[in-house]
Amino acid sequence: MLNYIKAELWKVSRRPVFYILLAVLAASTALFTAMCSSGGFSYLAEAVSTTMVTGFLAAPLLVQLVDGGGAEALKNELSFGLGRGTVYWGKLSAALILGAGVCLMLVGGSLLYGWLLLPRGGEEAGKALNLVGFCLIGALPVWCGLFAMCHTLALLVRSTAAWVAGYYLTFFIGQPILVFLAMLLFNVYEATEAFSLITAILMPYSLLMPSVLEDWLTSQYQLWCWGVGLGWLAAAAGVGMLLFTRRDVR
Amino acid sequence: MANEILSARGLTKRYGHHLAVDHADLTITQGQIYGLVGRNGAGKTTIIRMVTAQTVPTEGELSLFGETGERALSRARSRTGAMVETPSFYPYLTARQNLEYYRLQRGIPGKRVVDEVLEEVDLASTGKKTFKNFSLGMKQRLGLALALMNRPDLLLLDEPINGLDPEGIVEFRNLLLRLNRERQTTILISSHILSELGNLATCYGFIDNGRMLEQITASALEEKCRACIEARVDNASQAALVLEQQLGIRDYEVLPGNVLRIYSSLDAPQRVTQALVEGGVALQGIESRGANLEDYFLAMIGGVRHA
Repeated sequence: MLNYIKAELWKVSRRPVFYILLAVLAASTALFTAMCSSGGFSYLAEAVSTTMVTGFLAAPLLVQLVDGGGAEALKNELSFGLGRGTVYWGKLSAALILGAGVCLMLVGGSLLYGWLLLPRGGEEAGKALNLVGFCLIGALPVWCGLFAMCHTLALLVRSTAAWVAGYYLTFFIGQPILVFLAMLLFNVYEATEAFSLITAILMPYSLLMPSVLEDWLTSQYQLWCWGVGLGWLAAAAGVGMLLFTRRDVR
Repeated sequence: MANEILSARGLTKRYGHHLAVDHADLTITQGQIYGLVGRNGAGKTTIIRMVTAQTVPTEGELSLFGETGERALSRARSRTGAMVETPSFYPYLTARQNLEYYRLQRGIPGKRVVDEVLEEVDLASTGKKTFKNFSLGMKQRLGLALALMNRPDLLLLDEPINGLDPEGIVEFRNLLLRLNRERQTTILISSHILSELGNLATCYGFIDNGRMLEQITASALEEKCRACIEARVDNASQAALVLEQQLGIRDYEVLPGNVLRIYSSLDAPQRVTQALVEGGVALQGIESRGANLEDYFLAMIGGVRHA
C-alpha cells in the first residue's frame, strides 16, 4: 500500500496541471491574506478559520489529480495482482495526503506570514491559533467524507465532466432540496437541533460554513463533524468498493 | 501437476444472457508458447481478462502457478506480465515516467530496470514525448515493456502485434522466442493472425463461440496437417497390400471407413491410382490433402457450425 501511495504522489508531482492549480490556490490565499492583514495576526487567524469550506470546493479537483486519466490504466494494476481494495484505498489515501499537504501549505503559509509580519498580542494570538486548530480538527473528517465521495464518483463514472458537474450540482441544488423534503417529511423546522442535524448529514459542508462556526465551538460540534464526516466516508467507500469490485475494468 | 503454470476448469463468463466464455478448460505448462486461436468475439480476450483479474468469472476455477483462491491468485499474478487489448497508460506522462510510476507502485528495486526494458522494446529514445502522442506501434511496445518489467514467469499477450510494422513484428517475434528460450518464460498469446502464431506457438487452443474446441501441441497439429494422398477404397487391407508390395510404400495409415492416408509418392498420385485399380481395389475417391493452421482452424469451426 505504501508503494502504491508513493507512486500516486510521484505521478501527481509530474502533472503540470498540479502546479497550475497550486499557483492559483497560492495566489488566492495570498490575496485573502493581504485582505485580512489589516486587523493583525488574530484577525487573520480568525478569518482563516472560516475558509475550511473551500475544501469542499477543492475536493473534486484534488481527487481528479490522482484519479484523472487513469481509468483505462487500471488494468495494468489489477493484472499485476494488486487487489481492487488496494487500488481504491491507495488512490483515496493519496488524494487525502495531497489535500492535507495543500491545506498545510496554504493555511500554514498564511499563518506563518501573519505570525512573522503582523502585530500580535500573546494571549489573543494563542486563542486565534486554537480556533484555527479547532476548525481544522472538525474539518478533517468532513473533507475525508467528501474526498471519498469524489473518489467513488471518479472511479465509477467514466466522464470527468459528468461526475464533477454532478458533484457540484448535487451539493448546490440537490441537497438543499433533500433537506427541504426531509423537513416536510419529519415535520422539523429551522432553528431546531433536528433541523441542524438533518442539514449536517445531508449537506456536510454546511458544518464548515462560517455561520455555523460563529456560535458553535463546542465538543458537540466536533462530534457531529466526526460522525457526519466518517459516515459519509463509510457510505461512499462502501458503495465505491461494492461497485468497483464487481465492475469489469477495460 | 508440478509444471502447470496456468490451469482453468469450467471457466465461464456470462454477460446477461450472453455467454462470452462457456465452461472453458485450459492448461498451460512451463515453457510453452500457447497460441489461443479464435475469431473476433470468440472469447479469447475474455479468458485473458479473467486470468488477469480485469473481469470476475461467473463460475469456474482458476489456478496460477498452482495457486488458487483470490488472495493466492493475487500473489501469483505478480509473477505475470500482461498486455490486454490496446495498451493504456497515463496520457500526460512519457514512456519512461509511465514505467517509473509502475516500478514504484510494484516496488521493483533499481531505476535501471526502466531503461533496460525500454531499450529491449526500442523505446529508449522517445525522450519527452508523452503517451498521448505515441503511435499505435509505440503504444504496443510500451505495453510490452510494462509486461516485461518485472521479469515475468508467465506472459499474457492479447493481440500483441496489432499496430506493429513488419520490422516490429519480426523483432517482437524474436524477442518472445528469446525470452522463452533464455528465461523459460511461458507465454499465452492470442491472435487471429494465424500465420504469426504458427511461427511461435508450441501448443494451440482453439476457441469459438466461447467454447474451447481443442487443445493440441504444435507437433500433433503438424502431424494432423501433414500433406498426404487420401484414398477411399472398398477394401483397405487389400489396398495396403498393393501399396506395400507393388509400390513399396510403407509410410501410410489406415483410418476407419476404409480410408488410407499415404504420406509418400505425393508427387505421383496417378501411379497410386493405377496400382490400386490394377490390384483389384475399387477406388471410391482419391485426393491430395494437406493443411496449415488456418485451414485446420477454419475446418474446425466450419464443422462445429454445421454440426
